[in-house]
Amino acid sequence: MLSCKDLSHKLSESCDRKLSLTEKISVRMHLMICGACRIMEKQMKIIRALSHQTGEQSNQELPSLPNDSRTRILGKLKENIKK
Amino acid sequence: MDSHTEKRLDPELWLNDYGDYLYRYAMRRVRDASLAEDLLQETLLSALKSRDSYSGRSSEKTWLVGILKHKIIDHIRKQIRESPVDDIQALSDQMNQESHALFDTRGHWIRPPADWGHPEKVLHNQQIQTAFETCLERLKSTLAQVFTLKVLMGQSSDEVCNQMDITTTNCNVMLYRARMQLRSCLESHWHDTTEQEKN
Repeated sequence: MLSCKDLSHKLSESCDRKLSLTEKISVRMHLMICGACRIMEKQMKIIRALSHQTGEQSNQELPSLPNDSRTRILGKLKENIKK
Repeated sequence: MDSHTEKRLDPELWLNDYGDYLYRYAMRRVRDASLAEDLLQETLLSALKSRDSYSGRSSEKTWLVGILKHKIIDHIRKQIRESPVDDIQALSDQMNQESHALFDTRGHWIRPPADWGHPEKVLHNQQIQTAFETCLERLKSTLAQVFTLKVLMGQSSDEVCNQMDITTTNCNVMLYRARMQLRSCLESHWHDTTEQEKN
């Protein structure tokens, strides 16, 4: 029988590779009798979705390109256009 | 090249129109202002060099983001390669240490996970998004790099592990630690705020 700690590893691995049938069954059996781990499974789903959202968002809340950086880059570009 | 494309393929206009977008995209992933500036500059210079081969099939913005994405992945790869990955012993020691805070000797939860609510509802909550960003920033450097490649750059676990040049087992351990650290961090940041709301 998997412990809660073992289960946390299996849940993480299930994001990275396909679990074997035996692993899947032992995960499901543990989840059936363990409410704490069912909550943890839900938390992992939330973390996955939040990560996905973070990758997709437009980052509007981050600071924009500072003016001095813009000037530096513009200078470099002009230098290279002339070549 | 017709006059329209010629007018558009102008590096100064790129900087003007997409500078902020590309800069923020890089900032989100490398979390360092001067590095983000360098990456943006390199991206525009590469684009300038290869603008003749720009097919016009994707939008200019998509094309530029694509170049930036490669630059970011290259950079993180180099970073990871230059910082020697902790040896196997250190890696499993760290993991055991973190486990002791979560599980007792029989592998049971010391403090059972808290219910964060329904996944679909909770995702629209601004507070949890902010908490998640704070937690991402707190990840230790190697874990953050691994997680950035995997999640923010959309690479598969296999790709990430190959780039780090470590065994699959160690790679799984790092991804596990990253996820568990995010979980614990969110638990303290997010759960507490909901509790306060209830009171």
